[in-house]
Amino acid sequence: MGQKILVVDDSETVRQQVEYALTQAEFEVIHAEDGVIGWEKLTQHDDIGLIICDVNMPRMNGLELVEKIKSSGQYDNLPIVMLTTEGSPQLIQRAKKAGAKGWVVKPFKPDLLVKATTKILAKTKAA
Amino acid sequence: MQRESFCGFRSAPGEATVPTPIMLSLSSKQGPGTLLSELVRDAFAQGTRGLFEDATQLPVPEDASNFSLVGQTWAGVVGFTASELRGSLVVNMNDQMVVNSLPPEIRARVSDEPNDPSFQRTLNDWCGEIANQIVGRAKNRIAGYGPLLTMSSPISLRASGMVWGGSSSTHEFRQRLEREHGQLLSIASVTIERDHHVEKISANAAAAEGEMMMF
Repeated sequence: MGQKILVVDDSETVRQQVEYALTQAEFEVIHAEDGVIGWEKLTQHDDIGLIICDVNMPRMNGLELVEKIKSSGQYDNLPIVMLTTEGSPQLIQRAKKAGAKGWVVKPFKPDLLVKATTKILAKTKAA
Repeated sequence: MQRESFCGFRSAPGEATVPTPIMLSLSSKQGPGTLLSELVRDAFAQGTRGLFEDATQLPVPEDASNFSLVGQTWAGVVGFTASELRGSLVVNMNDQMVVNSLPPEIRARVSDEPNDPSFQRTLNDWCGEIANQIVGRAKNRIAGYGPLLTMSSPISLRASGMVWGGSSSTHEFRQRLEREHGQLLSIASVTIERDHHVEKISANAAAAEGEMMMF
């Protein structure tokens, strides 16, 4: 089994779709349905290699989660990719500023998401 | 599940129809720029059609001549607001239409037993996600002209005998897309405070569906 990926999205179907794509590529996947649970899962698992995160979610949205993770100072090298219907330059800029490494607009092509995940993980490892 | 009144819908026994469909014409322009109401109408029409054509990989014919909720069992709803406008989008489908719009890898694994709780849970979730993705597409198109919509989380419900009870919005944009396994009805109810012409702002151009950026 490959690296562990945390998928944070309030849609169960989208989580399943991402999980299916990533497990086919031999990644291990864990889920969270909003930013609050995403943060909990992150603190419970010390071997998460990358996070794929929606933006619009109840309780804590994806941008708030990225900002919380990066401002904690504990996960400076943890790459985060946003997967969302949002495409506005303001939000993309905010995510980039907070430390996200990628932005994918839904609906996504599973093979491209896997390629992006692999590429970002390789880049992080090399850094 | 049946609800007495929900986002403009009410449950009613027997025949349930909505009269006077509005045909949509895309990209009409008058004067400088685009009228905000036309921009919003086109954004929702293109967003809805685009999502279903992407999902089914086939062109989806549009026919607004028979806008009837008879047999429709699912409603997905997302609200939105911006400084210039506010409203909600409701999408209506039957079971088969929701199933056929699922991502192929999920569709292949979904239970074919309608009473299976996992079948109902998947359709419930996906119906809300469809509404979410349509509003997301419309939002990205509208943002290019200035208004930045804030979206609610999606909600969805299953009911029988749904009828559209109307809304107090200033504009109501309806769309009907039909495939052999059913129809998709969408109703965008929008209140526009002051309809006016808007110009495209290149700096606000949003990323398109499927686009991927690495930082």
